[in-house]
Amino acid sequence: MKIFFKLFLLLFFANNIILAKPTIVDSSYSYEILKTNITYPSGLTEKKGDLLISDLSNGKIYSYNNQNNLEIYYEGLPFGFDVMGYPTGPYKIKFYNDKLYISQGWADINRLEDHIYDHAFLELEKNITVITNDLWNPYDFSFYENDIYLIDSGKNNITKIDKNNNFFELIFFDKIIQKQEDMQVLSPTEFSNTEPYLTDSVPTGIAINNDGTIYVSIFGGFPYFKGSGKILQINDGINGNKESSILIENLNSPVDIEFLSDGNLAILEMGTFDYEKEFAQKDGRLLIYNFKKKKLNEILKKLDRPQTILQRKNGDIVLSELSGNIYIVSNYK
Amino acid sequence: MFFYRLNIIILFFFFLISESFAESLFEKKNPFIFIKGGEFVFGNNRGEENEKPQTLVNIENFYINMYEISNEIFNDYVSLSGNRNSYFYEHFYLGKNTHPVVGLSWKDASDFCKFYNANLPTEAQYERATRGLNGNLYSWGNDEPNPKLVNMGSKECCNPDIKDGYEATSPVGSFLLGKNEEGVMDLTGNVWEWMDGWYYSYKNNNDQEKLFRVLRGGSWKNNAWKLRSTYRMAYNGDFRFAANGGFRCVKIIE
Repeated sequence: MKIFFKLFLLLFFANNIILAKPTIVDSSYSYEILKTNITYPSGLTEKKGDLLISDLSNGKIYSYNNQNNLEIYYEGLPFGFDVMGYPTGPYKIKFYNDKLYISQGWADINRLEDHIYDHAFLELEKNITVITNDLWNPYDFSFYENDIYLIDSGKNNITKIDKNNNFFELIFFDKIIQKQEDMQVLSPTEFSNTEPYLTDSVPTGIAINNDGTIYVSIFGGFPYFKGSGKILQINDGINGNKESSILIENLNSPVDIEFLSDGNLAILEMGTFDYEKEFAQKDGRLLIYNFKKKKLNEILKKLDRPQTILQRKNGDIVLSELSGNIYIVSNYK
Repeated sequence: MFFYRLNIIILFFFFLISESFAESLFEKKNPFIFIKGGEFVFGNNRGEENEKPQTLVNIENFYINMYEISNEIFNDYVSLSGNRNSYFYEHFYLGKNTHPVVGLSWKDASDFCKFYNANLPTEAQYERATRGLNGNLYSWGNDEPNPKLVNMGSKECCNPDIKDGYEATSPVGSFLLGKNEEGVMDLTGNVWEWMDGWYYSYKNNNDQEKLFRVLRGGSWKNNAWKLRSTYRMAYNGDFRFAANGGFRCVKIIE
């Protein structure tokens, strides 16, 4: 009976995965699904025309070439499920100066203690080098003039790692004051006093433009109130300026950002959080912020817990989803 | 046709047997303890506004689980029912077999009790079991909570405290000295417990438009004030991410 029930669930979810298709909002865009059979695609990067994809289900990095061949590029990275039940492993990968950089999560409930790759930032050339594992939750990172800017979504900060491997904490993101009326949706007895309620200000994505301005997506902290996500702008952030301003607000759990070749900023939203069902499936969106017009455009909606956004050299935008799908989004403008 | 009907009868018979077997296994692991009904002190005039007024309430006899529902028992239930597991069932600490199950919505908890022909306790049943007939503040009496009596939090609200030996939940039934008069364990502390019914005002019996459910008893994160047997925590019943919210069941046996 139990086996049949599990089988039913498997079929049900398999069906859902097949049926879960995002909707195009801006008709100048179209998309196709990349057929890879990767279970939990997460990190994306491009190496000499090939697309590299990390898989949180097995700790592997795959290479997808122009002939539509999928090959294992590297294997052996830790993977598993974190204490909240989300897949963890090589979150993000980026190819830069002939090296592949990896932000590695992994807090599997069955993990070996003190594994050197546990919550580490790694460099892969021929072998893996641990740049640092003194991190709580390394997530996204970016490069500017050979320096690395690494986001820690546990410590809620950005660390600059210079070319001599010196570490500087650039910015710490302070807690967010929540409105009392928001919290009272959860509990009128526990959040009814006049003291402010603070939630974590969790950075997720980072992008740096040509003049050294840092942009960071702020996911908001648990319980992830609707509209509490934002994009911060830190002018001259690379030189240690800690003053940030809000570029965009009222977002629902923005998980990644990426500068496009036209100078606009692509934003990936995970979606809204349901008090009973976690992050709602098929509630993610791809947005593009036009700096000149100061306008936020919705491109795709109904994405299923998207993870990473990448623009390829040919202009296509690639998105990965926890549902297993990878989308190639093209613009015909 | 005869054999078809016979098969149906046999299948129904096996269904009844398996259901009662599951029920008895559950009760073997977590016995129901008899609580004598009668008139008892309900509410607290010296508590929060929502605990007032203090009144005398009459209640019928009932049975209550000796322990908070553990992960082991909830896992049994998930296997039998096909219902979803708790949010933290794989958690390296909170998901331990002997610890109380946490990370459940009100409906998850209520469905469990109904599966075993029981219910969540009403607020009146919880208070009667916890404070006895004379209106005690805690399950053990009126002494201030301390780490020998209860798994509780720090003095300042609302942080964990390891003086009681546990950084978060403790295995159910770990605090023998904190049991109630009838031997029911952890009615005070360890995890908050979902109650049956909606959150309502004692003063006007208004059920607040059925927006919130109630949890009682305080938890490993709470101080003496919130551990009081009359403290009422109203919460969104859909919320299933609390690492300090669990439950137990009650039965009325005629």
